[in-house]
Amino acid sequence: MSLADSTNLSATPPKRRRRLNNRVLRRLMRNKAAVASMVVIFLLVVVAVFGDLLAPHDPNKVTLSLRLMGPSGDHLLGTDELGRDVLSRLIVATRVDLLASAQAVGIALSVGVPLGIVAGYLGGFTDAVLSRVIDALMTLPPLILAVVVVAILGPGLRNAMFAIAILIVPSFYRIVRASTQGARNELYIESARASGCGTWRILWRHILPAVAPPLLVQASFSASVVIVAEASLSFLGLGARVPQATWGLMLNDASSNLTTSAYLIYPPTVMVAITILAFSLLGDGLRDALGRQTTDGK
Amino acid sequence: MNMSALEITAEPHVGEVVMQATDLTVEVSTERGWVTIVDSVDLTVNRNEVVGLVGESGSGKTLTSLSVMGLLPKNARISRGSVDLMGQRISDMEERKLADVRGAKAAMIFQEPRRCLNPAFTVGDQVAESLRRHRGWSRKRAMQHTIELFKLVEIPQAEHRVKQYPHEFSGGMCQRVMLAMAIACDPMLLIADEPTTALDVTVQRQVLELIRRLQAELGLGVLLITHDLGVVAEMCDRVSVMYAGQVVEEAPADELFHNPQNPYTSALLQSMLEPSRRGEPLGFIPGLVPAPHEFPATCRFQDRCRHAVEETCRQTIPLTSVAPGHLSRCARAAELDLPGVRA
Amino acid sequence: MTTTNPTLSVRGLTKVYGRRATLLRRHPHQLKAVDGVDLDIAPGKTLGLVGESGAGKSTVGRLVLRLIEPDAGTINLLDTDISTMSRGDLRRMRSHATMIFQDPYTSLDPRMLIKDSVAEPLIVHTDDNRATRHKKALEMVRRVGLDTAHMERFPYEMSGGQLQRVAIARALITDPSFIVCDEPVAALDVSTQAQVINLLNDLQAERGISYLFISHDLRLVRLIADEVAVMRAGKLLETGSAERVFAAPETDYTRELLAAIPGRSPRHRRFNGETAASVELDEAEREEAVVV
Repeated sequence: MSLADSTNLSATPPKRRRRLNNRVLRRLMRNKAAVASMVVIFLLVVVAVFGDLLAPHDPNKVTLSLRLMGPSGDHLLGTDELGRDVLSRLIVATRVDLLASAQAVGIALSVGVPLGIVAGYLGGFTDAVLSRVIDALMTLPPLILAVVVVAILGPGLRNAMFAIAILIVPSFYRIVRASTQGARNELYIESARASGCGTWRILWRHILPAVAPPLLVQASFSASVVIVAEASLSFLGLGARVPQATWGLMLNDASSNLTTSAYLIYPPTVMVAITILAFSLLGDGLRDALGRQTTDGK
Repeated sequence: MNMSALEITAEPHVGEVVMQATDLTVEVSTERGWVTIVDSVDLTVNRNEVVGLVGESGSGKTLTSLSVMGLLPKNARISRGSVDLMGQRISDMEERKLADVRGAKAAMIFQEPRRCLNPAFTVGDQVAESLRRHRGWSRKRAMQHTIELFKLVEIPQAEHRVKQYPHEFSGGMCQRVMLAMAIACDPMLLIADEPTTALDVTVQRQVLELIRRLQAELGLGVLLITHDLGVVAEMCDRVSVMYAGQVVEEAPADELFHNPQNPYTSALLQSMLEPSRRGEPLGFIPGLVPAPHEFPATCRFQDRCRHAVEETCRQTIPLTSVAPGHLSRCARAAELDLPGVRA
Repeated sequence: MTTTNPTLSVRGLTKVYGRRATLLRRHPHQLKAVDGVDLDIAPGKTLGLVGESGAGKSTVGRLVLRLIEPDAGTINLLDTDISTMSRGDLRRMRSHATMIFQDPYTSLDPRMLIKDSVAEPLIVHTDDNRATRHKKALEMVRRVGLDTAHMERFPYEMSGGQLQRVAIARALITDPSFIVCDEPVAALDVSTQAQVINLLNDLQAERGISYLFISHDLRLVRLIADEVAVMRAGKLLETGSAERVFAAPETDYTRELLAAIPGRSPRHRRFNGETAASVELDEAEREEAVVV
């Protein structure tokens, strides 16, 4: 505990009282990288939502006469090997990619969080069994697992995301389990038991809010991992399939024309880089802002 | 200097100043910028004397003691005033020289002794280490002296215990090890920051008696920082009471307990747990210590004081002498008849 | 229920920590944290449970409410044997008997507003709607000496003394008959300690609550307890009325504890410069006791 904290303990007068979340937000706002990343993510979401309106051309319209054109006034980022407008495809792909990553993170959260909380809170046999299963999951080579899942369920973006979700479940599980174990031994949990709170209430009202901050950080990091994974899987032909536009597929297309039109590799690469950077920096910022809050909060 | 630490060679020199802090002002960096936590504290410790520094949390007593040792954390600084140890100014000394002074001239023990010991080394090695560093002694000689020191602080089976690790020691025994380490290089000043707060009562008694004994035998000046008035009553010759970063009263212990001249001291004495009070409500001080960034320029205890009078107290109150050796920071000290401990 | 029946009556309470002997582990590694403890607390009275760290005081406090499961013994609370009670019944019982903890900074959920913390037991134990809960919480918060403004605060915005009063409000909102107070003022400043103690005393007089008051501070126990029980290494050494135990202790250990209470002023110094040799040995013994 630093000295500044200890001096803050003496009561703050009502006029300068702040909400807990406001304090986190204030710290986050002071972090320039986090603010920039939030702006980027906001823009990405806008692009994703209004992609159809923003795209200057039909992203799937094949015009063989305009194959592999460089950037021009009409096609700001040029055209691909089938003469489709690269900018339009990039814009439309944003929605697909963000949705896919939300889907993967969502599945992973809805599996990892309950399991982690249960394992962390109950401990003992339940914890031992669950943790071994998760450990086993982590020993699987990611790519092989993805290939197996796609082989079983068939190719397609949705199935690829399912495979990725399985892969990131352990990270959520472990974080939630560890935070739960920490929170479980807090005096306020015992106090809740002494007041007669049932297990569900304790898990829902006391433990979950305590594990939420690290979870948020992890979710942000995972989003960036998923974007890369999607790109990789689509690049390998295990993810999205033509004519769907995703950044990974665009990379795949570009790579086949690498010798003739090398510049095609850049637009999707830059988008992927910007997106993962934004999510990672946001994760960093959240971790800093929330981390300090939990120590001050004592 | 062979084993001289263990012989009672020193004649008691009462009156010789060991530590003197003058106008000591300490600031801490916070979200609101530099905030003054310790404000113009004057503090003197003589040889052969136990001085109590009393205050509740937020009074600034711990920062005061840390600045006396030159141990202020990075986010704190002495912004005004000075600290002299044995006539040597340490408040503007650089860290490397300071490290030599620490231990040799002054040593400190803390509230949680176990956390001050490295669990990976034997306790004997840790005490011997400071002897080897400050005195340049050989390993063997330092260890021999350590065993003597362990005997001095009444650790039974010293020869055996020096080879043990901190986890094999109870809290009270750890505090003895810290005391052995503290007196290893014959310091003249011992600062004890809540040395028994984390200990059981019976162990507290032993450690306090040990500190008293060491103080008398080695002629130490002791600065005892505590919030426990019972400990002060048992140990101290002179007491400074701190409130909200200022010394509000300084007096010989007996005088302070029976004839307090500051409403805060008096209120603190009334909140002492006295068995004779059974059945009546206990005295307490309403309200809260103001936060450091809102310390008023006027009397800082005003809002919680039963004796506060608008005009008189709404001004800067100096620490003034009310009797020989008795200082109080209260505008109404002369006219109030404040209760002390019941006789 | 007749008034003569004790609020709490405990017989042979035992808790063993560690692992039992098994096929592979011939020597059990066990520690009897609480060893055959008997306690009685009369309605509206306070039993002070004293002892040094590691004596098992806090474990007893948690055992009598079955926050920890005892290994042996019976617990009679408000004329009901709770040692065999089902989990659901146990939860309902907690509106009648609850606990206040040592450290108010950590015993309240840091992410909950004070009003929500105080009202939470009502959600669990009553059918009160939101408005009623809020009204009751406000009444309770006022009763412990805080005001409306404090309701909207988070724990980090308040001082230790205020938080402990919040904890008391939370404990009292279901109008319990018995409260375990586990070192309720040990983490507080001297000048605010008394405020919390006075409040506990007033509430006892007002509502006839019984307290099991756990403390290492004999000065405090002497002031507020009607009966005193001295614990050491899991065992109860002596029990009796507070006056009797403090005036004429029966065991050497109690005498030593009493002798270690500091005096009230420099004129009443009690320490005489000699160290009690027996305690020295005892301390070493206790260390060993941990690894029986």
